[in-house]
Amino acid sequence: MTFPQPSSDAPVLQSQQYFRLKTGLSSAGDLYESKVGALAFALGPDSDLASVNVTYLDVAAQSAESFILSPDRAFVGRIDARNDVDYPNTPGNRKGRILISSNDMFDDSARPDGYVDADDVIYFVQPTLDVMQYFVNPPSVMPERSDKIFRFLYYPGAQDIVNGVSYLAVPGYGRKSGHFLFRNLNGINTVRVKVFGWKLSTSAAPGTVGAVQSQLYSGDLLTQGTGEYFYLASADGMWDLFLISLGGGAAGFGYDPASPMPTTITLSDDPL
Amino acid sequence: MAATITDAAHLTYDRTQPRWTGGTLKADVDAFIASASVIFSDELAGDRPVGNWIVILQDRNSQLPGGGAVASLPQWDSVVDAIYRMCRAAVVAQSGGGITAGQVAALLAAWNAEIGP
Repeated sequence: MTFPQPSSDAPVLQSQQYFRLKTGLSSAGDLYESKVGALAFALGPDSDLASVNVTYLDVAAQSAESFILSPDRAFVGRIDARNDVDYPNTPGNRKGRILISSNDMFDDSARPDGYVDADDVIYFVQPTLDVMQYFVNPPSVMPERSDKIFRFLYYPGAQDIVNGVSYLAVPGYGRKSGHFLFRNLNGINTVRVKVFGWKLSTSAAPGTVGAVQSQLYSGDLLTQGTGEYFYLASADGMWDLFLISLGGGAAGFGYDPASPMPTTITLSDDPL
Repeated sequence: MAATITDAAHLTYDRTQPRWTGGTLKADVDAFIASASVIFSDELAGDRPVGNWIVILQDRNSQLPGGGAVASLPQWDSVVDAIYRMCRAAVVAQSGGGITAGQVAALLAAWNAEIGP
């Protein structure tokens, strides 16, 4: 969550046609407000999130109301920010600003099944929240999410290079197809590479662990070898995050952080 | 009881289960809302990323049946979701300098009093 929070005030004062709320998501609780109304809302082209909640004050109904933005569904219609009245029946005299938050789950304190604190390492790619707020009639063609391409050359090294696992979590919210390509440039070691689908939950250690992790791909990449995995949501399910693991298993299949592991991940909303 | 606000977030589902089955969920969350609302002022911009969750939580909790009736599974889930996200927001808001450690401690105390036991 960004501090100070981005504001839609300036774009309005400057007679801009829209405000773009584009920021990294720190947690599932990140919540942004707008003191300015709009004629339409839509997910922006760079959004990693596929489900964004918009809450507003419905004066006629005398209650808070909300809708969900998704890659398939924008909201076209006038929504007023009522800074002059309070949300009814809500303690604390909270003004009727428009509230924008993720409806997807993200928790960088979550850990994969079998994660060993002393041996392993995990890195979360921060999801991008991207919401378009239109002050004029929206375009006839609403923006779709762009394909997302991740390119990595190195991964963080596990604390125990021999026995530990390096994990990388990339956002995959709502994606329907993708391609994962790995190349092992280590001159000596074979590296075990896996791709998991990961569904997060509000419940995690120390409570009941509710996350679900499913292996989608596994390959032992010989030195100079390549491995690739084609993802189709229709076959492999839909996931919050894709979790890539390097290493683990038998000794000698670990990842050396001094050696490049060129990786290209392409994720798309196209179901193919 | 939760030791940290992060633990409270993760334990919310477990701790609300007996309240859901016992038909006291709405009343208990109402009490949590009342306690939490005084911690975050709508007048302070730094408080609002956390305080605004009270709007969403209140709206969702108002949908639950009262009088000892058991809420539906989606209703229960929606309330847990909002409490979880509010607690997570508090962690980020404190690290970003928007709220104080004292406010986070007060929110945790409210959770431990109304949700935690």
